[in-house]
Amino acid sequence: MRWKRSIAIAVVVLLLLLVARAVLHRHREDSEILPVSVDVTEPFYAVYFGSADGTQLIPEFHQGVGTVEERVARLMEGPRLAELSAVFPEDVEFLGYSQRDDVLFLNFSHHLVTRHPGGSTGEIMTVYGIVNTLVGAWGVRQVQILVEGRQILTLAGHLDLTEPLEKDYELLGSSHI
Amino acid sequence: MVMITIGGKTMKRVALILFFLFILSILYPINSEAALKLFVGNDEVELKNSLVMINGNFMIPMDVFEDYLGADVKITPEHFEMVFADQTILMQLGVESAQIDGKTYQLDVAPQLVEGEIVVPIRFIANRLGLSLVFDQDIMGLRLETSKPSARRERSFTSNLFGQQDVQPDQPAETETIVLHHPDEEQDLKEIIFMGGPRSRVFLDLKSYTGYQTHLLTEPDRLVIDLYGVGGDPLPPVEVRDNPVVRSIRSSRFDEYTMRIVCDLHDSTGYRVNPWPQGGLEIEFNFQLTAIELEANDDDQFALRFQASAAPVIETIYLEDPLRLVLDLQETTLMMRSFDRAVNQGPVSRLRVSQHTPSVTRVVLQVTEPMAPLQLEQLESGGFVLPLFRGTASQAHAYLAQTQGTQHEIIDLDPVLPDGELSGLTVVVDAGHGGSDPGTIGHHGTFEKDVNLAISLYLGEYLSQAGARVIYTRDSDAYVSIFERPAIATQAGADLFISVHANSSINRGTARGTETLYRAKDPVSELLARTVQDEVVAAVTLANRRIWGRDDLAVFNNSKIPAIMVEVGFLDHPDEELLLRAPGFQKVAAQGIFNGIRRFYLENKR
Repeated sequence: MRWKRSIAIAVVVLLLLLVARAVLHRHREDSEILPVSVDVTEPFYAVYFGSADGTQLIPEFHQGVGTVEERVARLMEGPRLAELSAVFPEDVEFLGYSQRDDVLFLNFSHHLVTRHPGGSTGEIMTVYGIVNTLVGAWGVRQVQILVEGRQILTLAGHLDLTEPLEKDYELLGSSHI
Repeated sequence: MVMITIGGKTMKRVALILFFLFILSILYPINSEAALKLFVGNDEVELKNSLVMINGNFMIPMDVFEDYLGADVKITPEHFEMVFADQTILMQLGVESAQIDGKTYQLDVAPQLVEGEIVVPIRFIANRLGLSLVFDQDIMGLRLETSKPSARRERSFTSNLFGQQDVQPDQPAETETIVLHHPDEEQDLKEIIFMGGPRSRVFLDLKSYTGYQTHLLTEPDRLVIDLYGVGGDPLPPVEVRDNPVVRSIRSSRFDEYTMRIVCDLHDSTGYRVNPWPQGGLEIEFNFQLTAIELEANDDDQFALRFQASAAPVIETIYLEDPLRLVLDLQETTLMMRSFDRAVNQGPVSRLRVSQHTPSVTRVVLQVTEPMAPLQLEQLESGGFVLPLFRGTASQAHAYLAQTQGTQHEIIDLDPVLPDGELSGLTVVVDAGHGGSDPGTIGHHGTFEKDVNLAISLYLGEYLSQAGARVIYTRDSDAYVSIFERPAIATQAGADLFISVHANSSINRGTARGTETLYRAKDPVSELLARTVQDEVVAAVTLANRRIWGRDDLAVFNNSKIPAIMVEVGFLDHPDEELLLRAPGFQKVAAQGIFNGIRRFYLENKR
């Protein structure tokens, strides 16, 4: 039984290596944007920021398992790379979270709405920057954004946020690999 | 008077409870073994540890729900679940929220692990189960009981506990049970939110109400809103700082059925009450006009310069005999004395300013030759200038088209179309945002809602001229929910849904160009988007970003009508903002959308 497990682990590590290599390779090739390098033999996670033109979400990698707190904190800190664009408006506070089955509820201060610049592009970048970063945290498959502890209908007048959202793979800069 | 009595009573009750709890905490320290008892109905709960109070909330062990309230308690490493007959409550250690049937509720205190037991805030649970939490002096403990006890227990706790000398002489000792907490089933007024904005908006979050009446009163200036059919307790007052209109918002119980809301104002001003489709009321105060004057420049051109809290919508009326130019500033309150005076500057002989109706400030220029207003401009100092054209309205129009449409000379601004080409087609034209929702705001203060409306109205005009039936989701500066808009289209039996927007990115000013979103996995919407995007880009000559299928936009969902959202340009980009606010460009954009719809229809109709 033990050798079976060893093989399984080896396969998973190999797959991760391939994915990470492909992602790193693509960005080196395409845009000279090199995501922050990580040791892929250790746990790592991705935090998504907007491309400058607001058409894609580009991952920035961090070492660690990526708890919900860590992921939200990295996302709120903003990108390390100047070419990428933050997804949070200014002054937003993270008020806490809870998880029910595979749905993560994230609670933010009203600034998420009141300081948001608007626009469907802006709204999609903010919402899916959050959703795509948090899906993948332990057991999370869907994310619902709450403001001041309440369900919101929309953030900036375009997206329907009354239901939890799933990760949007179409937006990913790395989805072409 | 009723209000004051109730207020006094509540105050007294609160003071008594606080004092009592204070004495209690001295007599019975929280960690003492003989601390408070807990009863559920008449059954005493066997407590392993004493009851804990955190931030003014009593916490009770989870076991109580299983043993005394018939719940099925399940504990997993992530969360714990209390399954009652009618609801399941989910909580997590250290997390200040609970989930019930998919909804999240804020907790005053997070569940904690105390001496090996999980404890949860009793008040929240009592609310959910419709129980009252009563302090019972006979048993020296708390009692959870159904909210309306059949026989009201009477007790004079003050005399028993403190002795007669402690009873305040001006307050007769009352006999009543101390109710620490009633379930907030009847808490109909949930929140008072000051939302600010150019219109100084106030939102009253209401569970339900049967009606309302407003009174604008003076000395002191205030707006009183009586909400009928609203039970429960009033909320603490909301103090508003640095707002030119509202000072504070208070609530009080007027009578058994009526909750009274008072907005204390700096000056009496007009307002509008908007009931929200999801519940609750929004109060929108008028724009405020604080100063207005006529100015002339060296070229013998005239303009009206005024100070207002934001740019109001201006409607123009031309009157003859004597010749007058009437400017109605919509939803604007005149914050100074009205006046009527001779000016005798150039063609303007008199200037009159007054509050024409509660929501309209009227400016009348008596003139000796025709004059017409041009585009309202916002000054960096915060004021506004309305240049006046010396000529008739149509001459002013021609002048505007000439000065602003020069970069698009190739495109015919007022196209002559064969009649009836689009007859039989019903199009919903949806101007994005509106009313209290301005959408995105440009560097120069352009509101997206105004750009969207202008383009939509031109688009509607072109479509009607071509014989199409046009339904607007809004044709004025009004708030319409994004969930209501698709319903309007469905109800109208529309063939196409065209939403008109202007875009913004988070890093303001970095993105540019036109894009069209469509309902994902819908080939008809996709084809419509492709055609419209091509034509809009050809017309406005901004960067061609993309067409984009989305399944998460509220206006696309809840209807099956082919639907697109045209993001004409980026309002947060200074260059594109200048274009988007120019009527010439707005017409060109509308023409582009129209061309796309027309080509789509003619190429694909059976």
